[in-house]
Amino acid sequence: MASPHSEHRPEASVSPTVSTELLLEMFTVIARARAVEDAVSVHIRDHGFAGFWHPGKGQEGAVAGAVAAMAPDDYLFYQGRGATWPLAKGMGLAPIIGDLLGKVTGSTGGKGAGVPHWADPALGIMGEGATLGSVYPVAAGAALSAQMRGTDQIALADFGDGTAARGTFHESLLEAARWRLPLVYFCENNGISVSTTFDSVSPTKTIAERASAYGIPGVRVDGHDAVEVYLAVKDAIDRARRPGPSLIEAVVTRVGGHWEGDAQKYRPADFLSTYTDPLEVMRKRIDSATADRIIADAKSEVAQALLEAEAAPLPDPSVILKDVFA
Amino acid sequence: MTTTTPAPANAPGSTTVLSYEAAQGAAIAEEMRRDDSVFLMGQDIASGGFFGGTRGLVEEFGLSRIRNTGITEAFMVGAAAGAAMTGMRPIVQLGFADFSLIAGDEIFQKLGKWRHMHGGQFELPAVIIMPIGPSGGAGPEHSGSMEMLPMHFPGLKAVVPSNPANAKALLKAAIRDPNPVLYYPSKQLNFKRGEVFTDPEYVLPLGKATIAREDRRSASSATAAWCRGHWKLRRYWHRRELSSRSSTSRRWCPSTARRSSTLLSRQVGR
Repeated sequence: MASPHSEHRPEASVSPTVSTELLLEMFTVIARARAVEDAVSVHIRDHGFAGFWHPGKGQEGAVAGAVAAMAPDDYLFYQGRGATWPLAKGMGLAPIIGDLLGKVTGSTGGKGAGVPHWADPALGIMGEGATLGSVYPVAAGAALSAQMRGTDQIALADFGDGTAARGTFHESLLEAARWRLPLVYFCENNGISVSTTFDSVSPTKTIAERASAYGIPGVRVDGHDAVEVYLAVKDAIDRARRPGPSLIEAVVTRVGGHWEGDAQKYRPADFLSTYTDPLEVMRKRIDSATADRIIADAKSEVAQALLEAEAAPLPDPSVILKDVFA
Repeated sequence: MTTTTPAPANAPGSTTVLSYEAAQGAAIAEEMRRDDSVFLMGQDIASGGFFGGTRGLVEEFGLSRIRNTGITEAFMVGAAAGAAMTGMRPIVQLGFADFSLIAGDEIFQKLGKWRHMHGGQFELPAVIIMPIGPSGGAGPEHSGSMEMLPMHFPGLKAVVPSNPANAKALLKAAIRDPNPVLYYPSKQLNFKRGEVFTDPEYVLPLGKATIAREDRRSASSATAAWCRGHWKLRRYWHRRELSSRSSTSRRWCPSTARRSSTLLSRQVGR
């Protein structure tokens, strides 16, 4: 997709200078994330679900590309659509699915069930603020901490196009730009907020162009292509370490509903006409035998993790009173 | 008028006289000298803050640790959460407790719940300073007493100091605590002077009230500026009980003081 916000367009072209190893890594993340999407969807249909699952199908490539550009100790703050963020940052399938089913095997030990609050500080997975838009300042604070401690860590906050309307977006970009924080704000613009379309509520055609108000780079990329996203985020992270924040907008497609079971009657019949499956985009870049094997492995690993999560115990109700205070 | 906290048995002897507000500035300066991870954020704090309590800190610690912000309450508190969970000990000066509502999500949902909802994997040692109460015609949106709010939200500690000595010792304890602490000084006490302990290692434990005076006839408790006013209330009740020969042995002060006592008893578990 051509960038309408070319002023800060990175030099990198989409003919990738990306290693085969990295291509395989991103493809594996997308394949496993897709397998989670498909398995969780079936699980909810057959067994119901004690929470809200917001499907991320169609958006896995953008996430895989963004995280591939991050270092292991960089701080990740995500939003709760799909399961690609923790997966890409190194969390295992057992804790990811354990959290989804609210089991003790989850990374939070069964808290934040249904609405995922995966976290593992050792992996830089710092969690989610489920009041959307609340991670802008929190991630900025982590970036400030890295800057004050003199490390070369960056913080990345992920959000959607709907969330870019929050006042916290403005406040945080203003301070982050002035303090030149090592920070990347990464927008998955899927063009729809529950059932409200982006163009019906946004005064700007893109999210990326809002960066100019803060004097920082804003870049818009095709989020269906993990490689294009990787290159843009890598560029932004290099800038962040100099330091200084960037705003990246990855244009993606929300294939599923806002939540699982949402029939999306509010959408036009042809809403998938601009959709390119990120799994297929990446598959073309690697040999087909390897791709088939990775997809088959992903499916069996996810099926196994789901079985284990189903068999795992629910936490004792007493956990509700644990960890309120340190 | 000066008030003092009765000295605990282990209290160091050396004292100096400071105003309630200067005592808070002294606490911040001492903790910043003690621990490099402590820093302060707030609107217009570099020149001394709304009431002058942070005067002199920029000269000693520089603008990287005394961070002037724009009018961005949600940012300041949210950033404090992010900095706290990644190894820093931020202090945010919100100017007026009324502004806690502007940063309500950041205070009550992020600082208060982040640790719990992520399975206890993070510590958030942050202090948010939010002056309460009326002061010199500050108006309806700058005079609120918001110190009861954390009673309705999990994961937050609240401190309401009543004199210069405990303002300093409790703020130091709040800064050292591994949890988010909401620190509510009373604007009415800002210029009240009193003795404070000078030993930088002297702190008062959070979650314990001071028993200022004991008698068998009545019990009352108070916080902040009410600690001064409620002695008058006690004298009033005592006179009434004596003159009516009431046998009531225990009586709560009315309305405001009762609210404080309820707050206090919940907070300290007494």
